[in-house]
Amino acid sequence: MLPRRLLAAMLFAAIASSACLAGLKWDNPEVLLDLDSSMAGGEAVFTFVNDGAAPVKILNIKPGCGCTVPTLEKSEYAPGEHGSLSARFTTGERRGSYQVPIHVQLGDGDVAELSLVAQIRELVKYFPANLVWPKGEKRAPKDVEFHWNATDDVKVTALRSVNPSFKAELIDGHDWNGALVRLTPTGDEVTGTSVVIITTAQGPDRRSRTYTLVARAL
Amino acid sequence: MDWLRKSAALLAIAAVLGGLSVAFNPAARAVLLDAPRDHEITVAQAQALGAAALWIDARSRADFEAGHVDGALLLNEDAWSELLIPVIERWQPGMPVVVYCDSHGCQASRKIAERLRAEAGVDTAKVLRGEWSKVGAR
Repeated sequence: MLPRRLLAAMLFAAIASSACLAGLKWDNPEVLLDLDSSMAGGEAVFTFVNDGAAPVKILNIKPGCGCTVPTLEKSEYAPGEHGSLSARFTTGERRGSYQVPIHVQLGDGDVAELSLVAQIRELVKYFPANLVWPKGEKRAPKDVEFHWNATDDVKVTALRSVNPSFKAELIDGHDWNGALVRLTPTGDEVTGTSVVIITTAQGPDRRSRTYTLVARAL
Repeated sequence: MDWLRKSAALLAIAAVLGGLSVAFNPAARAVLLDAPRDHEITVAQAQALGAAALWIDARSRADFEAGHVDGALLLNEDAWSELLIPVIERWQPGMPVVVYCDSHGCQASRKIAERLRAEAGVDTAKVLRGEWSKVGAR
């Protein structure tokens, strides 16, 4: 019986000591940011409590993407003290879904793994993004349709073709909510590439959001 | 039916040995788990391309300026539109493209390679599987 009692005592001691050393307990280790392309970014807040018996020091915070900047109120938390870590996600020219791991290194050698998931809904849809004039094909105009919902506040503010051998223009008179961009090589002998940049202003803050087309005449 | 039982036993032993090999032998694990997937390229494969490849650094400008693969161009989603211009000017159809970022939970290279293929017609864009710092001089 003695070994069994000893085993139970050891187990209890192990659990008790691990609880004492538990350190930071995170309320929400994963935060979802629901964004759209008119938004400059969003802030994820991860809250925690030090549920251990000793103070916990946060030594380093490393996000897995330059798009996310973490900030912390302070670095050391007493037993029972609550705190929060904020992470600012910048939309930039990103689109779609991003899962950003955030590694939090603690003074006791432990590492907390947090996750920021940002989903960026694109207000503007367009197709195609890549236009090719094959070798020998007549350099006729090619159109790209840009669509957005009437309820979304989007306006085209600029249109630029990097290579002047490709003319880019906005065409009026279409029957959808959006824009029509027409690209035309300036002559039948034109070969080469151009990037065409369409700049829009979106949302109540008139946030600048750009879209690119690649034109290639072979 | 004895042969069937023996075959099953042999298969089971082989499966266990294979599992142990993957678990404890780094070389076997590298072959099975670190093999390049679709649109990926290993450091050795990328090095073999030599000067023919166009290298794209998908990290932040600050990281790029601190050090990058010799001759690489910066392309990230902080400034996609402007940074795309020199890439498109340099790339020719058929030219291999290797996109890299930091290994620490890095998704940027995958995103950039996807966008190059989908939006810019750069159908040769592949993601470097491994550390860019191991590429060395080219």
